[in-house]
Amino acid sequence: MAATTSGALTKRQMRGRRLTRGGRRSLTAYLFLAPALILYLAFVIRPTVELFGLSAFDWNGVNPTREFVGFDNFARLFADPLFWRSLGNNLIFVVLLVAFNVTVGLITASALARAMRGRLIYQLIFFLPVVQASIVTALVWKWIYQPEGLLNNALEAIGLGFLSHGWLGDPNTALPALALAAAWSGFGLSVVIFLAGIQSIDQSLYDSAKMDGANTRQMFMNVTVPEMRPVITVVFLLEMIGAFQTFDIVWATTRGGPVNSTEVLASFMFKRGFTDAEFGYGASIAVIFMMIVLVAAIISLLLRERNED
Amino acid sequence: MKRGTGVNTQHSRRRRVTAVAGAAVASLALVACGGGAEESGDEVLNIWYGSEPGQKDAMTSLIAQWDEEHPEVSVEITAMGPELNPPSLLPALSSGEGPDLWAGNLGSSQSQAFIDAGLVHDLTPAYCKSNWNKMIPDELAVIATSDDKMWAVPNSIESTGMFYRKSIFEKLGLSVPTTWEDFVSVVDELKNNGYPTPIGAAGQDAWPVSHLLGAMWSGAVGPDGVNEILFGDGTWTSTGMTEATEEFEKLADAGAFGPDPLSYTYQATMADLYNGVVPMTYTGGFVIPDAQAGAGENFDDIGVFALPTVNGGPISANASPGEGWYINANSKQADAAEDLLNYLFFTDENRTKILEGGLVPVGPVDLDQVELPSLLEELLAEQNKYRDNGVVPAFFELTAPASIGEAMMTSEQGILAGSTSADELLQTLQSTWETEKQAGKIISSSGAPKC
Repeated sequence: MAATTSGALTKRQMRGRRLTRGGRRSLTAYLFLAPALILYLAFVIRPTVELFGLSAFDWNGVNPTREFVGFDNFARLFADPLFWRSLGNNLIFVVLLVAFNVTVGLITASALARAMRGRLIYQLIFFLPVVQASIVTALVWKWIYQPEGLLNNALEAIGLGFLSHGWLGDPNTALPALALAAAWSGFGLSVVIFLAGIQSIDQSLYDSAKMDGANTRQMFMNVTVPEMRPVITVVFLLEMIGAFQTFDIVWATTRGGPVNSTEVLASFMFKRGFTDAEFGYGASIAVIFMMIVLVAAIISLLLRERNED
Repeated sequence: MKRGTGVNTQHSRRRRVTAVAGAAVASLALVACGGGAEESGDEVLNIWYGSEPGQKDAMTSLIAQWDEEHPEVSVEITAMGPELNPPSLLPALSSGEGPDLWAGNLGSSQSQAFIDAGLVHDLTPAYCKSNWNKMIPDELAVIATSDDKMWAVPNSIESTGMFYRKSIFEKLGLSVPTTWEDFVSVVDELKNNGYPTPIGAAGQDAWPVSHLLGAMWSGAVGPDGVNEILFGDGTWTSTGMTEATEEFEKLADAGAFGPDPLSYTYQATMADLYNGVVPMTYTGGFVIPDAQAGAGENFDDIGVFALPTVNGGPISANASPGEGWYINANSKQADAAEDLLNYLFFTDENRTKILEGGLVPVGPVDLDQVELPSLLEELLAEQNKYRDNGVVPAFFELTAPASIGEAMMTSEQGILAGSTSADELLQTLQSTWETEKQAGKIISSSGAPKC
């Protein structure tokens, strides 16, 4: 009897133990997820929800009372020429940055993949600006672009002195000049990602192409590019989001000038919010800013999924 | 055996980790309970401010002296330049924290926002009781006053003028200009004699251009005209303002600011002045400590003259308010902060020390008792020549809402780039001013507080 009771208990305990083990696993998983989830809720979701709320108020950031204005901040924003100028500048920045880092990055990675010697050194050289503090990058390029800076000296040296001028002081060249500087600082990351992708391409595809008489350019266009499509989408997405979020290099060099020629959404938002103490209006810029990046990211992800299919 | 050893090792490691964590928690608890200033009975007075290096040194040493004389309070200074101050103050003060005392712009949108939110301590009782009203001129007190209450102590008068290299003028046989026509001739002569940038504009930073055009404006409209615009019904598009802006545009079109006026920062422009690459630049006395260090033996070769008026009107002394010192309304150290302000800005001995540090304090100073750098003496003497004609500001952007400052600087850059006209600049300012006026964001003209 005792043995039976003991045996029944043991079975129940075993069943309980099995359930408990399964439950424990889930609990452990949730416990591991909890800190990240709590932080995400507290520092991403909650501020985002508050941001939406704030955009419906006229508030200077410190006054205890906020005046509800509904969609007035958005109406004002869409009528503000500087918003459209900033958005336009951002789009130009995105196009230049993505075009440079995707095309030149892919070509460079392809060349590096074929290089037998010094690949690591080149990788390090290209990657160095990525680990450099953005303020250092900004100051280095500010110096390069000065009227007596490195670029103009180099142009003089090769007989192109007639092109030299203050690159950041000219409203026509300031934005492309900054885009190039920003591209340089993110270029290494694109190269490393592309290189990893190229190295995972089946070598037999290149061998077959070679047997068919394909030259280097044809192999690049017909093997590398099609095989790299998912990786290109990832780099495209990363570069695009990065370009939209551009702030530090603009702030450290031109502050959006001269004559608003380098004003981007982030610097425009910062000025309205913190300099002019217009937090409600600043929040409405942030909301639109977020929507644009979100839509762009979703489109890119959908494209990526379609490529993978 | 190995597994067992591993478990033992894990246990012992866990015990060590637990012990270390326990010790850390205990240490933190001890620190939290009794460490630092509270243990010694000190109260902390937090100050946020930043200024020119020489000035900061003079101010820092005076604050250190006050700190020594007040063992019951411990001063902690956070060097916070004007660029970091605005984005840091907003969240700090709105969350009930932030400094007890800070230096910030007078009359900017942000300062007014703090005042409206009840975050700024009312200094009117101290202003009357400690006789600050006898030191701070009414025209300055007005800028720090709203609703008949004084909210900030203006720390300085920023005298400005056209700084130039005497040896270059001598070499070319040029005299210091006293009329606008003479000034334009000097610019032409410099340009025709190997100086492609006669006036360093520092257009990349924009604010130095604002000071030059501000001086041209205030010279053209005079003290009454400035008051009309800032506190009355005057407009930014008045005749004097238009004349001055058009002259500025003519200078820009004639290449007076060089081939790349928007490519140089203030720092680079000053370096060019010290090196003799740029013969003239418009700036203020605040640069003198830096000039002493940066110009070396060329320091004595730098002179200064008052900018002639574009329309032939009398030249006035040019002086603008510097920063204002505010006390946090939630500060438990408000009395100590008031005492420190009194010590810094309203005792003769310390006002002299501040002046020697390169910052001109508000109110009278006995110059005979002060050993000043020659350039500062020259600047003050030049201002004194025209003081009878009244005092006008060059820093319009510091006493106006931030949007005015921004519109001003962007449009001025536009003139330098050739993409904005004088008329467009003034129209932009007028419309921005009207918007801000309607929103109640400009300084009211209630006058200085009554004691």
